[in-house]
Amino acid sequence: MLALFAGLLVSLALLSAATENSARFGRLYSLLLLLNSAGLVALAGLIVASLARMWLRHRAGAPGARLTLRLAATLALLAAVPVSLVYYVSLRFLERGIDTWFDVRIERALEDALALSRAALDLRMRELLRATGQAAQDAAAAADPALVLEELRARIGAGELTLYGSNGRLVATASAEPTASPPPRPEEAILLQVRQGRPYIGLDPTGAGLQIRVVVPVTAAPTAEERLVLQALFPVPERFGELAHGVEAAVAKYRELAYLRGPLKRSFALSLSLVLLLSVLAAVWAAIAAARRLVAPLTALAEATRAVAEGRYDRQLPVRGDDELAFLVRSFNDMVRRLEQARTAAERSRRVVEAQRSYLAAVLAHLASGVIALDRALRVRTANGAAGRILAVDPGGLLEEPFEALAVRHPHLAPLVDAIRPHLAAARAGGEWQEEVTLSGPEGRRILRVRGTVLPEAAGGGHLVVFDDITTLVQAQRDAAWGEVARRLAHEIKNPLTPIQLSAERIRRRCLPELEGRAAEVLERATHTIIQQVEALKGMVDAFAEYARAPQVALRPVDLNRLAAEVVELYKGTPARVTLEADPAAPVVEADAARLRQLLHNLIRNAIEAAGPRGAEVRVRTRALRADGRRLVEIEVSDNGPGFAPEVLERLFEPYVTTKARGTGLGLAIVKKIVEEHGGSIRARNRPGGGATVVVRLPAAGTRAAAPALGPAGEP
Amino acid sequence: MSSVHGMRAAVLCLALAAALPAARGAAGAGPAIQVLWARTTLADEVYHLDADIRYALGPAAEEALLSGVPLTFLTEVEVLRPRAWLWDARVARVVQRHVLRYHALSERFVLVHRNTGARRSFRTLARALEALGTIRGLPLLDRRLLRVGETYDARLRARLSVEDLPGPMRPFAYIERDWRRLRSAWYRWRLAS
Repeated sequence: MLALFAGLLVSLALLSAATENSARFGRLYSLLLLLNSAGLVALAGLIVASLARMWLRHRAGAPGARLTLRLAATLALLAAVPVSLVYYVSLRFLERGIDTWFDVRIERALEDALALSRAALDLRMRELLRATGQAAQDAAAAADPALVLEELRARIGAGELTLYGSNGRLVATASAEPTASPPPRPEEAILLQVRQGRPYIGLDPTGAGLQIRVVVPVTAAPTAEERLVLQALFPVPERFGELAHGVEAAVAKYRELAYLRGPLKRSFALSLSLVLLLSVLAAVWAAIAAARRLVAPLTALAEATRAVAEGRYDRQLPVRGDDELAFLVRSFNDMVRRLEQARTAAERSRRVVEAQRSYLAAVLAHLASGVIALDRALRVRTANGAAGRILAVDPGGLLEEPFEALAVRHPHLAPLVDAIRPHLAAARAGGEWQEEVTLSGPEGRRILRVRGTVLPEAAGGGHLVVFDDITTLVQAQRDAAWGEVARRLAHEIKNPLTPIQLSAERIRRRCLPELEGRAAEVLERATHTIIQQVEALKGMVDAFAEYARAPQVALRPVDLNRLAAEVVELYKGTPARVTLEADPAAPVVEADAARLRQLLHNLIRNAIEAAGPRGAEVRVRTRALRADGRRLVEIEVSDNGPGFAPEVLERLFEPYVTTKARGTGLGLAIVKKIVEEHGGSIRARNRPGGGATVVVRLPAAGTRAAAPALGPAGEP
Repeated sequence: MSSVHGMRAAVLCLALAAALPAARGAAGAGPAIQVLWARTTLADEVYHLDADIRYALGPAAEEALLSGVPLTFLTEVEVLRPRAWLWDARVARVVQRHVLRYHALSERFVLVHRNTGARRSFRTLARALEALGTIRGLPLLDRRLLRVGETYDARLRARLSVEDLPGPMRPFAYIERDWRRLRSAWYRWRLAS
């Protein structure tokens, strides 16, 4: 681009030199003109192209395009207006200036000088014509005109005297310079004129000066077969010739100039127009370039601002120069850097918080304790999975619920709400409280240990309630206590029983033969009773021992359906009706078959005893189940008896809890023990239509682990 | 007045570059210079050219001439060897340069042959142009420079030399029709062997 400008400038300078008709560039004029025009066209093309590009960018709504266009237009206008003004004034000036070169008076003077020169020459030419005529007469009078030619030439003072024959044939010539070449023949038109009798006289321009040509007919010899023509060439005197030439040259130059006035004006105007166009185009180009340069950083700023607005802070703008714009760009860079730092810090702390939150969430989720956080307005903020499990509700459904509403939506939680409420009302910051609550929910009785504290104000206030299901713990303590009692009983009671029995048998053996009548009968009945009761006592103690015994189970795969069928078979002969509904899909369990058999016997016997031996209907049912992704077997034993008394139901599986008149009260306790030995769970409930149901769940073989607690999902 | 001039010049200037090649092809009312006939004769193993060219200057050129502007005329003769597939090869080129000017004092038209310096003057323009257009016995080239057995063509044209006009007139002489007409077409003939 710059090269084009430079070339155009040089070319224009040469053009202006050529326009002034300088000898050096005169010959290049046309070429220069062409070059300049081509350059201008190229420049115009470039500008049009870049304008078109700018317009397209503007149309496309590119950032900064509008400003660039406006700025370029303004700058171009600013440059073009004064240049055009100068152009107009220059043109007028040129017109006037060239016109002032020409003056009517000078023109008249030159024409007069020319006429004067002609008049002066005319005078002399008439003299020469007369002298030449005389010479022609003399020549005609002579016998041989050729012989007197030199003499005649010398007399009239001609430079050259030549005699031509018909058809312009050279007859003779006499010259002041004998070595000179023969003189040029006169034109045919002159010869014709002279042959018609009219002499010719005229000026002949030679290379540097003038000569006078006189052609006359030689008329004296009418007899001669040839009509001769005499031509005399007279040199114009040197001084006179110079002057005449000077006048002629001046007039010629003036006339040429006057003629060239129009073309000169036009060509000056042309050059000027080229200069104007170059200036305007250069100005437009410079304007576009300047606008681009000015707007480029602004565009970059706009784009960077947009990027920042979109959240990208990685943009740093290049700083150019040291002006206000550069300052702006630097400030922008600083700002973006700080924003970036701030965002990075925020992001980092957010990540830390997030990590802590997810850590807390993980801890909470895997906590066995239920945790419920309440906000200031006593709405549930957080509830972990364990809370849902322990309270037998969906923990997600608890969120944002007012705490009080829990009792309404889940009636079985009412004791919990009632127990906590006074603590929430009374709690102060840092104060802790603890409470034990018993809930009777769909899964039976549950004992919860509930602890609470007030959350610090910095964490948003509110309360934290943590609770553990200590049902099994309490149960285990109770079981352990009973086990100890049983063991002690077995030990302490069984020892004296044998001597008592032996003594009773001895009394009977010794004394019975010696007594008779009524005394023997009494002795017989009393010892029999003693022995019998001791036997019973022994059986009871054995049962205790059995209960207290440390479990020694030998686990093997057992088909529960077959085992149940065997056990049920044993009750065929009894008055009670025992039926089995076996689920063929029930999986094999890892179990001690003898213990399981005992479990079934205990349950069936218990059911028969509860219903009364007559009309008892006991239904045993096995079922394959799937809970929490594990396979289970459920054994359900139902009877048609009166069902469990509500006050017994909660403590059914503790030793010596019984409603029956007979029995050790250990049947169901042992059942529970066996179930626990096999990693299962047990539950008892009353059926809605009357009668009781005991449900045992055992894990299928291969999934041995604690069977999940029976929940609502497991309800048949 | 002056602005009209300026505008015309500006328009002209833009038109110059764009219109020049196109304008050249579209000549106006026939050329003002015409080669009437031309032939070559062989004398002493040298080709000589005889030709008649008719010049009709037209008002613009005549006005310029009478105003003292010298007009330079070029008579170009070329000897070519035609080739089948390529452009013709140029064997020789002879350019005759004549300057015609009006002598105000003697009121005569002076014709100067620039190649030789020979000067002739004429009372009328017609005579001068006739003399300019009459070519007799112009030695062209030595026959020995040509290959035997080849055929050669000669061609002739005459034109006004625009580059010899005064500078201010040149751009307009290139584009104005009155001036562009001062150029003959090539007259081509077979070189007699």
